[in-house]
Amino acid sequence: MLNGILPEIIISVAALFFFGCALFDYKKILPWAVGFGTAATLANLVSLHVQHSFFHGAFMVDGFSRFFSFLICASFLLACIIAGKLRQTDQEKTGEFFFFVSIGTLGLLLVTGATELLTLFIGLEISSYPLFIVASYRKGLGFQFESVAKYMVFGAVSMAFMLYGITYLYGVFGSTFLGDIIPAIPEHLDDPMAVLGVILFMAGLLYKLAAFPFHFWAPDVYAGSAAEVVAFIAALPKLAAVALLVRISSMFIGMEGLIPVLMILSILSMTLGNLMALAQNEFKRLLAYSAVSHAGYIMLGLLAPADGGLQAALFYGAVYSLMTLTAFLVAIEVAGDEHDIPLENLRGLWKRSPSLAIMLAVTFISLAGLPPMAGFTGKLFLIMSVWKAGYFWPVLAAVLNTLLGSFYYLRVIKISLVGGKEEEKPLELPVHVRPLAIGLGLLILFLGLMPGSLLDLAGAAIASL
Amino acid sequence: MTPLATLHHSTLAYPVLSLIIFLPVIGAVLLALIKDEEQSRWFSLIILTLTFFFSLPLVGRFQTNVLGFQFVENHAWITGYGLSYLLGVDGISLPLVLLTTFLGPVTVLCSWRYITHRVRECMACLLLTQGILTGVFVALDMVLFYFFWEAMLVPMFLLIAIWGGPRRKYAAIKFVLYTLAGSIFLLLAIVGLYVQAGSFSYPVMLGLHLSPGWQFWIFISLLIGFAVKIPMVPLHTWLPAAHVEAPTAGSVILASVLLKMGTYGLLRFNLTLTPAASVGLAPYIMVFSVIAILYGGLLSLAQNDIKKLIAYSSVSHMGFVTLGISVLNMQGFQGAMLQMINHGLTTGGLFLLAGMLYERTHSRELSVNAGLGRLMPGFVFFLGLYSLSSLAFPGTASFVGEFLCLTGAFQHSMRLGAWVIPGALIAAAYMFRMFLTVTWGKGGDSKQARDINLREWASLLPPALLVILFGFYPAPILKMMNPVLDAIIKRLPAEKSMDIATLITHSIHGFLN
Repeated sequence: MLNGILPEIIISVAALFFFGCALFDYKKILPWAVGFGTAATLANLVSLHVQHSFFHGAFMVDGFSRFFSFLICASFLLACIIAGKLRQTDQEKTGEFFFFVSIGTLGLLLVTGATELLTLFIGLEISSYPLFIVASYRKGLGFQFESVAKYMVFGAVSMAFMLYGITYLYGVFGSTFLGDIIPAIPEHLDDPMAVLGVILFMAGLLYKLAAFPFHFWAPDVYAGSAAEVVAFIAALPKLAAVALLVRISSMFIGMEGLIPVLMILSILSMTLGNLMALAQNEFKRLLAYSAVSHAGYIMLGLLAPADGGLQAALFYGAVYSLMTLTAFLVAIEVAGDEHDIPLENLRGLWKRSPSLAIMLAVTFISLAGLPPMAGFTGKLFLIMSVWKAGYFWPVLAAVLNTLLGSFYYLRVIKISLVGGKEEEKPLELPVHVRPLAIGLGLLILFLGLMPGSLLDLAGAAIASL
Repeated sequence: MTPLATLHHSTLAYPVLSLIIFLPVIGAVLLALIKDEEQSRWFSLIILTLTFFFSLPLVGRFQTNVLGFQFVENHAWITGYGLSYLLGVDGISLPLVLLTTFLGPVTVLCSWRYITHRVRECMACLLLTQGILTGVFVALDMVLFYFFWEAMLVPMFLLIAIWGGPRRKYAAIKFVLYTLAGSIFLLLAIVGLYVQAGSFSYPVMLGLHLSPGWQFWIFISLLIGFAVKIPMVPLHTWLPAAHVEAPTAGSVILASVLLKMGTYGLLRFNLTLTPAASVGLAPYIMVFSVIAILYGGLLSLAQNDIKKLIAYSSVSHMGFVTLGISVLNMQGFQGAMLQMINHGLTTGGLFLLAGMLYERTHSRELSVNAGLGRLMPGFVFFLGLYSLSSLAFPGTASFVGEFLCLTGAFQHSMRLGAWVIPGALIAAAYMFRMFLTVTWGKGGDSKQARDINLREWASLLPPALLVILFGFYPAPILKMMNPVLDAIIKRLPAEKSMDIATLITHSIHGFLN
């Protein structure tokens, strides 16, 4: 029974340990964080086939929640590794940084397994507040407080929407347990109160996913906070949001009016994200808008639950968080102690660090959705399933957006691979970065060519819903 | 099931098609281990020569009288999504595969001294393009095809953007964006076909009977994807930019093989998967082909930059290919296929020569290079040969192809033939203009003339021999492709059955409601 929640236990222990470190001002935390992350990731392999429900059915350990807890733990581990020495963070706060980040991760793990609406809400809150705090942990005076303010105000408002939606759902179904709600759904498919409840509920998730129209926080938070923090914010909560969106839409997709809303939001998210990204000259800001457009792609999958769309959304979500973390590895290493990363700073990256440059090219080709990288394969599965479900216009929008996106992704590749002076000074990289960069690049390529294993895992996760 | 879709297992003990795709790719990876520039040149040359020799058994073991795909390799790739690793060649892809592997060593030879910085990376790009291009011609799974189609962009982009001329970044971005804009429509068509067929395998798709509406839109999307690559007027403007800025090897790959991807796709996918739409829309392609032939020729006549001149002549020559395809008769098809191969050899040769001039005078202007040919007898020999072949002089390879295209056009209608004939005359005009200026013109600096050396001979001679050989004896290629072309024609419906205006109106209604 307990081996089902082994990852949660490990992350909790980690959080307590980091809290102790913060109290006693112990600074060499990174190896511990990597250790805990590895342990939590491996623990998922133990619990992969466990099926158990906790707290009277409020928290469920099943294939679906373990799939996401595996991804979240793996992303936590990867984010800790790429965060490295926390060069942009106030050194005083190393202990707190890891403490809050692991509490946030714990909240996300709670969200993916929650089968009761209030548990779910509490999980989201637990995951949000620590991230609000770490968003301000930046050396020197930059724009981190603006970033925190935006992140928090948007977060609070969308959480309020969500809570409001939950009350509506409770009003309609008379219970907050998904186990009670699911059987009653067919009777309420065109009940306006239930529809409103679901849509308001989704608002909170769209905020986490940085999808239109809840994306306004993303560019400022990405640009204003320390790069290590943004790596967490950009990758981990997205995974939980994908998990919840998939869970919710697998239940409610038959509801009147839900599909048009999702379709329009996804098309707008893709298009506006890409259009805004075209004009960006700062690396992290560009990644923020690219996140908005990718949120749109992920939402495409929700339209086709019967035709493998959910599986595709899971696959794309996993691939996307991997791509984001690799992009942030570059951001962290190139930025060093600087606050902003103008695209010009990437010029001649090829001379300064060939392995980072190649990894950046691989990642951005993947983000642009060109073969043979994982991003293409994911997008292919998404549009296949959506078209199979009979929706052509979102497919056309997604395909046209691929073209739009490639303008700015290619610009970054061009800047980093072409040009640069002959006598560029090599980047001073920690030892682990080179093998890490090569490994991550190969992983993206591998998932593009051989997506079979991850797809099967995603399929099993969907099947256990 | 049509005989076109039959899969014949390989008679060879080893997976020959995978070998010729992945040998260069593995070579490109291994180049990372070689630090020395000279060694990396030799290494790439050896790898590509080996690849060429490995592709020779394809000719020996190819059964010309059998329809369907041979040397098939079929492995499950992603089960559940209808994806497989399906490779095979038939009569129309085999010549193109051989053209690709044949020109591989040539591209390395012409970069030997032209590329002076980041040699190792350049060689890696050349090897990658080589493997990927072969993949495009042998992939029978549509997603695999698309993988190769798009993957080719990356090394090509780098080749132009890093080792190109002064405006290389502009040209490289333009090339990639044009191609991407086209290939998203290709992707749409592929996914559309999948939605209909439930599989990405091309042989399975051959069994589809699509409704006229689907046929029409799939044809259009495929056509946009391919037309950018061919390039058909008015989508051709990336070509001169890319050619002028690309290094010699890049130009050779672009002209000789890359453009053929488009016409190959047109012949293979458009005509067989959407036969009714092909018959219905062929007249429009004809119009664009005639425009390409005449307009490309006239533009070429006005150029002072040698590479630009050859680039526009490519537009005109590819016009002949699309014309041959669009007349939908046997002569036209044969002509188109031959023209693809001959254009590959001839224009490749011309770009090699332009590159050699550039290495000597550092200029591609006709006026700067005028009269240098007089002092370089070996150079002029090849320039004359390739120019004659380019203007389709009897006895050279292009003559046969262009003649067959014209025969096809005349067979379709006298008027169409009459429109195209001036194109052949313009070709003579622009080619002779270049040849005469470079050989006997005045104004060049004679001190820079230096006849071609042994390495350059080695790169120019093999294509030249084939140009002459195919000029007199094209029968082996014809024999190879006749059964397939015949089967493609038999699939086409005899009459136009498609009311295009209704289809478009119908779709607009669908969009509005």
